[in-house]
Amino acid sequence: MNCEQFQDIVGEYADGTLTLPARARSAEHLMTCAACRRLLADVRATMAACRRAALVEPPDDLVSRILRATPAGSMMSCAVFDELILDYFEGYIPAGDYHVFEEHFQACPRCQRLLTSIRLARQLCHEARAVPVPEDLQRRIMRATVGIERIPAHRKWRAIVRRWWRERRAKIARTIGLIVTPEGVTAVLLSLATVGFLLVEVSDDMTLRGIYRQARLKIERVVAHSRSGALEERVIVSELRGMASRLNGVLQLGANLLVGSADRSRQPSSGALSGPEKKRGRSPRHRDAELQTRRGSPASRRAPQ
Amino acid sequence: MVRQCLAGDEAAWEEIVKQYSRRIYSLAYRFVGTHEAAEDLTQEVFLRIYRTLDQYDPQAGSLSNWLMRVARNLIIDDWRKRGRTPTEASDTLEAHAYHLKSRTESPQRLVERRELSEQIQAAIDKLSPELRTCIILRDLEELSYQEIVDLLKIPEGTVKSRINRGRIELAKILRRMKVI
Repeated sequence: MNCEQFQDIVGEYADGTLTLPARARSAEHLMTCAACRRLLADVRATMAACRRAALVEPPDDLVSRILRATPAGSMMSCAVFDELILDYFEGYIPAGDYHVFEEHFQACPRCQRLLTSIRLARQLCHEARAVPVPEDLQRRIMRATVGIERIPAHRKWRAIVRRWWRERRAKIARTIGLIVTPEGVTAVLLSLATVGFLLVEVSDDMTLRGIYRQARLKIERVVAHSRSGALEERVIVSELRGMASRLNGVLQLGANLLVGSADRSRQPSSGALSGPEKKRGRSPRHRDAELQTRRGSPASRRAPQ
Repeated sequence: MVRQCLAGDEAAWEEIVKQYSRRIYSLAYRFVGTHEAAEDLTQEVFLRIYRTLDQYDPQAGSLSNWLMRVARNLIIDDWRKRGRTPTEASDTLEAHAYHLKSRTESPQRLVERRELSEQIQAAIDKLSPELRTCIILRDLEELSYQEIVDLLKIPEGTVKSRINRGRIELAKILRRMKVI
């Protein structure tokens, strides 16, 4: 190692950070070189002088000056400032804290930006127009929650009827399904025809009360005639027979109409007929004959003889 | 102590200022070269420290390390902004004597140390900015090579080389000044 090489590492030699081989080579050179020994001594002396002079006495008033420059406001951390922001906008910061808060705000650019941004955002939110609500939203909400929306009084009854109908229509449909069969309709029509006949033929004023009144009169007359023997039995019988034949005609007419309409409604859906009927493949003429037989039977059974 | 400061305890903050102002002031003085500028810079550093005190994490290291790291970064940044030239040395020994505190050291030792301090400062001011920075950080602040590498963000070889050349230069200057 020569002097130039040693000068390059004299600092590290003094620090004791050289590797062992480099340190050994340096020590070997130092043994033979007085100039480098002097250099090393000077470097060590310089380092020692620096260490001794490391600390400089500050002015007496430095601490008080620093404390004056760091008032209570700047002592508040940004995190504490952040926590007070909510109270600040609500107007709830106590007077003492508000003073500190304001001083921190004046001293801290970060918190100035933050507070200004929040203020601006609040203002924008306030100014933003409300989103228009769909017209039927309220109605749909009411329907989904309580089942029926709040409606004006004049529409209330209609709504109640609709609800009543909604709740009961299935039941009513089942009931109607039971009634609307050929037999059921025939029974209803025959009942109506009977009442109609009685109203036309018996009642004097086309009322039920009239039927009762005339029936009672006729019975009284029959009783009176039978007592007096003035009215012959055959007259009464013929009168009753005439009534029966007229009633029979009316009932047959009603039954014809009823069965004819039932046929018309069945014809398009003939595919749904039961198997045995299809297999038989009877002609329309055969069916008509059978129907005539059926039509006759209830009327003849019901007809008063 | 930091928690007390953040809670608004002025006494705790005063304790920190008293404890670290000397070290920070000394570092600032070595870089800027005058007491007025060092005083202003120290105050600036403490202002900055207080505003960022809530960022201190006790688990990441001691308060002392954290404070000095923040201070070093700020002082070196300031020094770079100033164009790496120390402020015109206007301080005289007499002007500085006014600020000296009477501590436990004897008056004679104090005077000696004060003289040495001024001589070292005068010698350091004569170094080039790169050498001066490395000498201050290594021989006055006693940072390790790696700490200097992290702080200045230059390669370790460069740091070693600058420290070496700085010491040789400084030794020559101090010898001429008959300090050593």
